[in-house]
Amino acid sequence: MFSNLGFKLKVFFLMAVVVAALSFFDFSLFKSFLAKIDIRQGSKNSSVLAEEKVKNTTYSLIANSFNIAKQLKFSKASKNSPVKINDISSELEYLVVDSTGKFVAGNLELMSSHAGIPAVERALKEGMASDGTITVSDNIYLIGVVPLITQVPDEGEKLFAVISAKKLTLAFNADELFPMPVKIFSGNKFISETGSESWIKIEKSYGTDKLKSDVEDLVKSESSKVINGWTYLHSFFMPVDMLGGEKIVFVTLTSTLPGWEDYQDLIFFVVIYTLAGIIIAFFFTFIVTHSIDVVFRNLAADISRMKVGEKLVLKKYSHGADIAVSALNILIAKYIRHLESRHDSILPNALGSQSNTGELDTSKQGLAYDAVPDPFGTNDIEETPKKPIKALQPEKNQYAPAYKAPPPSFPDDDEEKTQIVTSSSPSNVEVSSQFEPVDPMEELWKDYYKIKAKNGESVSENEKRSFIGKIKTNRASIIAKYKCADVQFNIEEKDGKPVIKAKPV
Amino acid sequence: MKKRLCAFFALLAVMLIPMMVSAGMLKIMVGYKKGFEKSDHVRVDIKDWYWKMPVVQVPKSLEREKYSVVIEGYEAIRKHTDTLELTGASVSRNSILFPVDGLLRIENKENFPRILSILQEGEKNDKIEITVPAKGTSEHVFMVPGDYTIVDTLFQWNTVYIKVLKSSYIFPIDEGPNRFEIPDISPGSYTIRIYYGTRWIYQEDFVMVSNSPQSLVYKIDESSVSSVNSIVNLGGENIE
Repeated sequence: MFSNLGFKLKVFFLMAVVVAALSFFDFSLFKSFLAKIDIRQGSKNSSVLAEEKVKNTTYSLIANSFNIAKQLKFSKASKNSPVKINDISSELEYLVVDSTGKFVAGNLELMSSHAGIPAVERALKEGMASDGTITVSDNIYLIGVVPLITQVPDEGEKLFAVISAKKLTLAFNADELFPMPVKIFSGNKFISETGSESWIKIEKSYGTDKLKSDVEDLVKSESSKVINGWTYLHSFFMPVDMLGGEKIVFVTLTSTLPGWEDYQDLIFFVVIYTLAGIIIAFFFTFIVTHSIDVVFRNLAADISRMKVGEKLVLKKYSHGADIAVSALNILIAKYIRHLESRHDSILPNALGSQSNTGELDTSKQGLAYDAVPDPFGTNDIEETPKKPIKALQPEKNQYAPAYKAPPPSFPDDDEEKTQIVTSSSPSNVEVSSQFEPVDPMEELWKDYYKIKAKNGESVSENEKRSFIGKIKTNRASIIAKYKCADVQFNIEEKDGKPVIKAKPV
Repeated sequence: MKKRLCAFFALLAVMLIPMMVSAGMLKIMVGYKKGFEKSDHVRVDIKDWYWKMPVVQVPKSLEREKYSVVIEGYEAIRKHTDTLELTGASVSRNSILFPVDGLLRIENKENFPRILSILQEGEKNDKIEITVPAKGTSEHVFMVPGDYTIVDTLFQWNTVYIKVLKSSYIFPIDEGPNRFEIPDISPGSYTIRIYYGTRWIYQEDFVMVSNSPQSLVYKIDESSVSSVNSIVNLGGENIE
């Protein structure tokens, strides 16, 4: 399971990076999308809208005073009867004061004199209609004041001021007034709020103390605060003079999405999604690489159990092992072909040495079987130091067998064969012959032959084949054993006998 | 015996010296007709509004601060009391002149208590708070010359500036004819100053000669002071 760990970690890391990058990209895309929504329904615009609602409320007070001023009339039934004021209908509480601020009429009396209230002063001394605030006995009133000059029996034209008033707590207490949750403060003192459920949700999501601290900051100075990616707090003050008056603060909560707590949820799920992706990537990496591992291990086991002349079943292998099997089968085919061609040359000699009894000469027969190269044997090779030597430069095409016909097919227990083996197309043969390595054995054989001849030993043609076969087998064996690129063979004479020396290159 | 006689005459001479320098009488007459409040006398408008629109032309306000006459160089003890009324969300005065030991009486016309803070200019920590009960009165004596500010803690736009002079003698001027007499002013040079609220707006020097009465006649009209000594007889019966 944990073999090839480096490779597995590489694959896993790659997959994890891809999953994390995709998650981040998705989130960025979503956030960007919401930012674009914010352009249209931004917190500032929402806050401006809330302030406009406040302005509309104060204007409605002035409008109500105008309406009362229009209705106000002084009359006298007879010369000696007192001056009377006609009935007035008003949606809001109101009062009429004279030029000194004294109460004349109305259904609300804030003080014995209303002189000194800035809005009333503006009406009585400047003739201005305006709005304002006044605090009386811990109650903050929003007021709209309108000046009025009207005829009073026996007194002529007199100046009055009409005041419409509404308690602050009642004026902005309606949920439908503001399009978002709003908290209202007088100075630092909390007065009322709308959208309480939303405030509770954001408290749970953002933290009660944190939210309280942020709101306190906003009450101190008009500003904005980003709670999370798309939820904002914004504060604005009603007009207040540094010389006095009530500082009334509105803190609005606005968001580009209706769900105030969704941001935290989204962040949570993005993290979970990413982690899940990484874990899945981890398991897939190990499962896939493990199955590849198993296939190659099976292949290795099959190869170790193979006998000479056997081939592997191609369809049995997958995950890239089939390519290796295909190549191996070609190699086996070549090997068998080589053996057959050699067997063909040995057989007549063997038949020629047959005794009169018709029995095969066992010595010859043994030669024939001895000629089969031992794929794992290195008996004839002396231990040589493993130092780099110049590789043999085989003459191109000198020893290359020229196949003129497709390689012969061999009977096999398994009917499944690789395409390369079963293919008989000329093009395939051409490619095969083109890449057949040049056989450099002829020169070695010449050296071998010379030493034998020098010492008076006779050398047959069969011995040459055996010699070349052994060299080839040993070459493959040494390459496999020492994991070298090639093997350089030399023939040397020792005690009147040729000795083959091999050096891995 | 001779020595005793000399000592007696010396004592007699010392006792007779003040009798030889006689004090004169000073008569001050001021005619005052209220003018309109000048714009720089009106307190700053409180900007607590979203909406403000002109509707009617209203008559101008008349002067609401008091004129006072002060004679510099004349020191005498004269009890001075002035009143500040708290009406509605306003104060009746914004600028009051006091001599040393002047008494300020604060009357609350409303049915809720008011707390006033008195701060002396230059004295950062010298803050006095006066609670005026509902429909009640409180008093404060200004014993140290200087400039003071009184702030209404409930309606903070109400600010009263107090100036306490080193002089202990001031004459408040009411609308109409005002006559003041100082029968025992010593000979010498003096300065007469006229204040509107705490603002000094007129000054004139005069000399008192022994046994010679002096009359000073002034007219305050349309917020300006003019001397009318030349057109009024010394008896001071006709004052414009």
